[in-house]
Amino acid sequence: MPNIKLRSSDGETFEVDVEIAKCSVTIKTMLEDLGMDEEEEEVVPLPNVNSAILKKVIQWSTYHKDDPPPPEDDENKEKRTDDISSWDADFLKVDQGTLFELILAANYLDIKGLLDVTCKTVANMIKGKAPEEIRKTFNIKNDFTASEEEQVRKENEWCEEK
Amino acid sequence: MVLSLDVLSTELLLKIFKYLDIPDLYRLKQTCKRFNEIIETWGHLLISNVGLLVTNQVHPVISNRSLRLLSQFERLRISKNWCSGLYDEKRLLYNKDRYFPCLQLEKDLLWFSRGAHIFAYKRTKAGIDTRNPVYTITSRDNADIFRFVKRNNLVLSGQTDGSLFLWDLNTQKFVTDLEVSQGADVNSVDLLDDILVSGSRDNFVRIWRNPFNESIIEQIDLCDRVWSVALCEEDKSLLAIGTAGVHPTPPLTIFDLNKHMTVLNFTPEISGAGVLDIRWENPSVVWSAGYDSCVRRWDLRTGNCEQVLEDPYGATVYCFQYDFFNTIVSGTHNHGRAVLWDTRRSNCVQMYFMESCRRRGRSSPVYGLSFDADFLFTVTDQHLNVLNFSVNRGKIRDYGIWFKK
Repeated sequence: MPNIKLRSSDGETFEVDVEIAKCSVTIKTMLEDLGMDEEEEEVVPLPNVNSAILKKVIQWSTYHKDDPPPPEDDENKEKRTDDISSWDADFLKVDQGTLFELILAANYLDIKGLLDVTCKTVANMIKGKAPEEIRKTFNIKNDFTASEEEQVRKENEWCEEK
Repeated sequence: MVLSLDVLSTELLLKIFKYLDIPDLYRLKQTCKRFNEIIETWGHLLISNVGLLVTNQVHPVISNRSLRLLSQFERLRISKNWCSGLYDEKRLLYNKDRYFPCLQLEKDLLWFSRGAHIFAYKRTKAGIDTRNPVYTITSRDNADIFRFVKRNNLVLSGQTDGSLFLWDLNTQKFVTDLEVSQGADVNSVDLLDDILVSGSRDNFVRIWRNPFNESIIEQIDLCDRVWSVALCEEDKSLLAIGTAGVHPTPPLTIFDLNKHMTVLNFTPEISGAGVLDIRWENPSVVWSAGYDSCVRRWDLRTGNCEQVLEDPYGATVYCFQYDFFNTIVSGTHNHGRAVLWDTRRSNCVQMYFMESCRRRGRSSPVYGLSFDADFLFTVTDQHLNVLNFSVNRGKIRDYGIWFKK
């Protein structure tokens, strides 16, 4: 299997199997459209991903390299979040900063499977929580004025009471 | 650098939010301005929807009868409930005897007639407060009220004994109470500013002016039983009259009160298409419904029927309401069935069967209905019901799947 070199934003270079690197649609397109020759000792710069995150992304892609391509988003399909595999769940036992960086990296590198599973993980952190708990969990500042907050709260009351 | 959730772009946040259910989204909306705005603005991506119905509160007639005004996201959520059949039904009032009840919805009050009485109940988040009516009006001689209309401080009511009364809510007194059609039912009334109209079984439409001096200013012979009358709010010279359609007379007549003459007659393709209910959309467009099992849109400019909403079971349509924005809800003649229509597509979107009519052997027309975004109120022969569409959970009664193409 031919390898390819990826360079993170902080200058570290990773040598990866091309097929694994191609989990990223961004890299795949780059290789195909720009005609980067796999024989040459070219290095693909990834200025938006640091080495710690790139390492994680490569780890994830290596494990999932034989996965079938993820299905297209279907508007009518119920959105499940309880179907995260145990390997992914373990893999995503990371601090919040890393989790959001993984989302940003998955989005930039266009790795749908990783983006889906990271987004589901964050959604699970929101589910069932009261507004104050959500703020606490994610360190969100309550920037509503008292009257704005009252208005949104009232609306919520209407929908939750029943 | 430690990242937090709000460093993510709107696009990425939406990818996360799409996995949340509605109660979660409401709680998230309460955390901060940005999330609230994202969910309000992009709610249509989070709630799949066939197109907004019922919850448009654009027209003043609708906003004036809405218990509350909705945020965009709330509109999407409740519209979806109407379309998918998610609601909570309550029987608000029951009576042993069977009547032809009638109702009218306002922002704060629900007006409801039963037998010889008109009641006004205060509206609440649960429907209405049935304990103490805010107003009670009783007809003279306890004559059964067939149809009433309330506007400003006046209530005009027609009885089955041929009498008509006008009640002033400020003074709590009859302005007038008179015999109009010699014992023939008064089947329809309308009231707009100083004009009062009644239509009777004796084939006559009568018009008075208020302040009331009991002298009829106009009497129109329709040669057929008059079932419905409607004055046009935007052009007070226009009066639409619906008749039984059993005689050669066209069932829908447009009369000009200034010119004292009929300006247009509408005839459906089939005979016997009596018109039981009429609503003006604007001075050029009027909607009608009745025995031909259709709700029809008539255009005064072309003189033709421009749209037909045909009941899927061919049932007579007793009543309907229009939200002036794509939505019609009609009440049909059996099984306490109401139907939701999307006027953009002329197709039936959903049906609601009143619980009280689901028992074996029990069937009643929906004699009257009115709705705002949250509630559909209906009256059948024995019940006043409310369907609450603002709920989040509950049984889904989706009959619309039968009509989806």
